[in-house]
Amino acid sequence: MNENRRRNAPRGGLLILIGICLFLMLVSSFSPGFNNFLRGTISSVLMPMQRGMNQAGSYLFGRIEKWRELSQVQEANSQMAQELAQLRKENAALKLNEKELEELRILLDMKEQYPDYGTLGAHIIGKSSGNWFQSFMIDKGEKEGIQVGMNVLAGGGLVGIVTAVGDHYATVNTIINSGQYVSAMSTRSGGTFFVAGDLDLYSQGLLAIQNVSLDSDLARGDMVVTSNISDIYLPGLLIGYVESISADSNQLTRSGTLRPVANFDALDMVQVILTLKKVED
Amino acid sequence: MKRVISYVLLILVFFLIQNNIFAASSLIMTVPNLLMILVFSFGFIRGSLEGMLIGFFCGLLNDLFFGNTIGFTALMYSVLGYGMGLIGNLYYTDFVNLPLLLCLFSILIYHIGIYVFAFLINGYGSFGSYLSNVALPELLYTGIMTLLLYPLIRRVEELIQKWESRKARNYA
Repeated sequence: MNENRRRNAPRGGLLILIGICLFLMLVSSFSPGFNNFLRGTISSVLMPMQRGMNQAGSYLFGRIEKWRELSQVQEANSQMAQELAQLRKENAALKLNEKELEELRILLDMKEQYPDYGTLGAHIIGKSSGNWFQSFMIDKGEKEGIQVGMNVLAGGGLVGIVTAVGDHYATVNTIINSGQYVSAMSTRSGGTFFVAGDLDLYSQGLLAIQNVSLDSDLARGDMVVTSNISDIYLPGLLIGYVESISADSNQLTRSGTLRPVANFDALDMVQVILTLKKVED
Repeated sequence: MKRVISYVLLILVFFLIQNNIFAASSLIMTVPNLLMILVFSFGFIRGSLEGMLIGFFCGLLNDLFFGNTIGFTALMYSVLGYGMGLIGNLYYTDFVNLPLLLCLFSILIYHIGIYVFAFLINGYGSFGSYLSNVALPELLYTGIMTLLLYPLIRRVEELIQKWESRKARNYA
C-alpha cells in the first residue's frame, strides 16, 4: 500500500553522503577550529531548548528517584546505626592520633599539600546518547572562562576533563570511559600508576588500577590522587580510595580496583578548575 | 517543504528527549537510542532517501554535541537508514514485528561498528564485556521503546501526509 509514497535514494546518493561524512571526519580530526565553529553555531540555537528540557528531566527523574530511595533508606538506616557505633569507637582512637599528628606536623613545618585552585561551578545539562561513551555537557563555556583541558571535579573527586567548548557550554570526557588513563599516585606510598576506566567495572561504580610496581606497598584503603607527571591533570586531585589490589599473572606488576570519590551515578553539579596544567614543550 | 519542517522538528524533539531529559537521570544508566528508532522507522516507511538523510542529520547532531570526531555517527546512521529503506522495498508491513526485529538488528550492527572502530583499534576491553555492559542493555531498552514509538511515528507520518495533501489541494 505504501509503494507510491516511498522514495528511494538516487544512484550514488549514499556514496556522496558517505564521502561527506568521511570528509567531515578528516577535517574535524585535524582542525579544532572547524569543530568549534560548527559546534558554536548549532549550540547557540539549541542551548536554550536543551536547558529547558533538562530542567523538565530533572524534575521527572527527581520524583522517580525519591520513590526508589524511600525503600532503600530504611535498610540503610539500620546498617548505619551499626556503623555509627563502630565509628565512634574509631573516632576516639583517631582523636588521639590527630593530636600526635599535629605535633609532628609542626615539627616538620609541613606545607598545605593541595594548592588552592580557583574553581567554577556548573550544571550538567546534557549527556551523550551512546551508552558506550560517558561524556556530558555543562552549562558554562568559553565566555565564562572555560578552556579545553581544564579538569573537572564533583563532590571533591576528579570526574574528567573538558574536551570541547562552545560560547556557553562545554563537553566533559569522564575518567570512567574505557581508554581514559589518569596517571595517579598514592598519598601514602611513592610510585605512580594508572587509573583507568573499565567497561566491566564501571557498572559496579569502580575504576581499574593498572601498572602498580610489584615492590610498591599500595594497599586497600589508600588515598589515590593525580600524580605530578600527568600531562593533562593537575597534581594532587583526589580520585578515590583503593578497593582491592592483587598481583598480575605476569608477576611483574600489580593491578586492582579503585572506588572513586565522585559519585558518577548521580552527577548534577560539577566544579571546573580554572587552572590549566602547563607542560613545558 | 512541510515534510522537511516536520522532520526537523521530529529530530530536534527526539534529540532533546534523549540527551537532555534522560541526562537528568543517572549518568551510567542505559538510555534507549531514540534517534536510531527515528532513523530506521522513516527509512523503513518512507524509503532509502529519507532514511539516509534523516540518519545523516541525526548522527551529525549527535557528533556535534558529543562526538570527538564529527561525522562518525553520521556515517553509521546514514548507512543504516539507507539499508532500512532497501529492506522496506523488499517487504513492507504495517505491523510492528518486522520493525522491531530490524531495530534490534540495527542496534547490533551499530554497536559492532562502534566496537570495531573505537574499541578494537584502541585496544580497550573485550567484546563480551562490551556486549553485556553496553550493547545488550541498550538493545533491550530500545526494543521496548520501539514497541511504544513505532505506532506513534506511523501516526505522525500519516499526519504529515494529510498536512501535505491539504497544501496540494490549496494549490489546485
